[in-house]
Amino acid sequence: MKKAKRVISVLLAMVMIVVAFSACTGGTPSGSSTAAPSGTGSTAAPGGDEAKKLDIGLIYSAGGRGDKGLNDMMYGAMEKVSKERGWTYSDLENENASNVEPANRQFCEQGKDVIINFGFGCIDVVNKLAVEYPEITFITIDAVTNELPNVKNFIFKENEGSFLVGLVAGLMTETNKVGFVGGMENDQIKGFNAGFIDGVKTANPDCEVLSAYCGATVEAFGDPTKGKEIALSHYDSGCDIVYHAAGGSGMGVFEAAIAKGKWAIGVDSNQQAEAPDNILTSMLKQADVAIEEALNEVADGKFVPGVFTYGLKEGFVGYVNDDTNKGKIPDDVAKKVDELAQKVINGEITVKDTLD
Amino acid sequence: MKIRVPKSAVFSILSVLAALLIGAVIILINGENPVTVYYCMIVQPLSSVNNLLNVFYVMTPLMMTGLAFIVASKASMINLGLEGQLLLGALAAAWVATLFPALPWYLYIPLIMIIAMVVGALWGLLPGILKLRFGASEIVTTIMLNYVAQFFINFIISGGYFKHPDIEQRTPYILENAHMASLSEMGTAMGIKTFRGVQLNAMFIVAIICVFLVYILLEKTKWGYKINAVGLNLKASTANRMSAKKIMLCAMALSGAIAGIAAMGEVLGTFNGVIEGFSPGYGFSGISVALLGRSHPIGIILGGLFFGIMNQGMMYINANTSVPKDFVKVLQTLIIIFIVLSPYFESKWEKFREKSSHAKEAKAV
Repeated sequence: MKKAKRVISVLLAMVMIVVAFSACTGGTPSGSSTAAPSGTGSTAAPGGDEAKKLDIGLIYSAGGRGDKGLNDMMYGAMEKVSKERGWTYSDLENENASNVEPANRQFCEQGKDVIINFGFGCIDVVNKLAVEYPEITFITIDAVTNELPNVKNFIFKENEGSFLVGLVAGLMTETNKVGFVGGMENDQIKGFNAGFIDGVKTANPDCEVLSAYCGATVEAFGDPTKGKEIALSHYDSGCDIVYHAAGGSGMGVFEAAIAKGKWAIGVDSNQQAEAPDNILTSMLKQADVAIEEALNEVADGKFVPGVFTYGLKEGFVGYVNDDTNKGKIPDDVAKKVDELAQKVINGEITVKDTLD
Repeated sequence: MKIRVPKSAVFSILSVLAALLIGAVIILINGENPVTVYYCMIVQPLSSVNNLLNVFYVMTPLMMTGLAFIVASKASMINLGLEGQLLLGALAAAWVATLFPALPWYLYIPLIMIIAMVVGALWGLLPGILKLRFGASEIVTTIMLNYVAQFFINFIISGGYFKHPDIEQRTPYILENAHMASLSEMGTAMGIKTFRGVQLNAMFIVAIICVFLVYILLEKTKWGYKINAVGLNLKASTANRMSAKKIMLCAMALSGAIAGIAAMGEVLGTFNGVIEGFSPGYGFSGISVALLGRSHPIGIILGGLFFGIMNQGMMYINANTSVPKDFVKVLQTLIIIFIVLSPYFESKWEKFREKSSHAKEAKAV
């Protein structure tokens, strides 16, 4: 009996380690420090009263807060509208697929005016709840749901933005070898990769592109260790510029860039601050602008449902070349990139969106 | 029958209280009020009938995996592979549930469950056979087989062999006649708004029935007696011409079968298929529930209820305070630490009582 107890206690120690481990890696990769600000909306500042005051619910995607990408961008957008317009918002993290529906339901029960979801994980839930709660407006990013009168989907042509940073990389590489680090290996991230490769090859047909992904599940967006590992191997095999589309895992790519003293390219938002000396530029996906637009529509009673696809032409994707990364991109490179970007806008160039 | 609280239950409750106390300190360090946080965690999930029903929904898979764990542990097999058995059972169910559109639901759903049980049982048998045939520790093999199961599912779904045509990381929708309607859906169908938002479905009843069946099996039948005998003393039971190996294998198969249908409420109800990563570690939480429930079927219900409340409370903490939701996981881990420590305190308590009774006797003499 005593022996059995000892076995059990060893076993429990293992269980505890597993539990503790999953607590560390499963949810927010950033740990508690960045999760702290997620709370009930900020105190409403006095704002304009010409439009309806909105109460917004925001559900983060699997990567969670602290990815310095889409999740943090959404948080920033919410902070902005709550300060400028006096709207209130609440946010919830979703640590896995089983949490998406309860989180949405909680917002529905609280009578939110608008609920924002992003990532493909929300499709089923929005399809279901938008019917059950016709009075609530659902906005999704990177997810196409059923066509419903109270649902708006935003899709971005990330391949076009990736094309631009691909051009930058292709024109600036000295080793004729650049790398790509993807998050989860899915169609969306493959689209990033395809656009990037297209850009690199357009600018520099001899340049080789090494591509790798952090994993096959959503956890791949929150795994900086894996991101770093892949980026290091890219740098070690001769890449001098690595572009990531890996959400929170991208933080590891920046670490690798710092360690090796090479260039990295950020994604979604201007990530310059994460490694000021090593980030060349960032591919921009201005989902926050799109969300603000949609929220204004709701507030003004002019909501238009449907699927909206935004690319270079609409001005929602792009790359960073401003004061934040001043002097990193030579003028002739910028000129060439802008030239080709114009061609994409005019429709003279169609950027690949799938790998072949 | 006299109702008395068993001593082990007292130590479970003390473990929970001790964990809550340490948790309060952690909350204070975070600069929040423990009363608010615990209110969110414990009271809010119980604050309305619908919230309580959702707690029942959340506790269902935990009860099932907890139950699966104790069935194996009674026969001295430590089944840490519940997660893998659960996942493969879920995948098999999701597959079968897309096959027969003509079958009526009252035949179809039991059929799906039986197949999920068979798959779970086979996956549970594997480490059992490895142990008895080659002496491989089931603690190691069951854990490793979890990864095999998980990656197999990712391979099948993301590899495109069994994938929803439009949505990533999920299997195709199951057929209408295999769907377990939630209370919310039933209400909507009948035009009642009372249960709007309640995800609970019939799986909860199945789980409760399973708990009582296992209770009867373990406590009231000859077979259960054999399992207990093997668990308590392997050598003696072998000498008694009981086929210990056979019993251990049966226990593992039963354990795997129960784990195999643990997530049916999710697969056939909420998700209408399998979503990659849909299980937040039900298998491992089930072990915690089994420990908190002191390996007793009735304890499982209470332990599952408490973990269900905490898991639901996690959302309210997330929404209403600045404490990160991972706090609940910390708390659950603390509870397990204290439960592991409790045999030590129990023996101390025994000794103390013996001493005091000796002292009394000495005085009497």
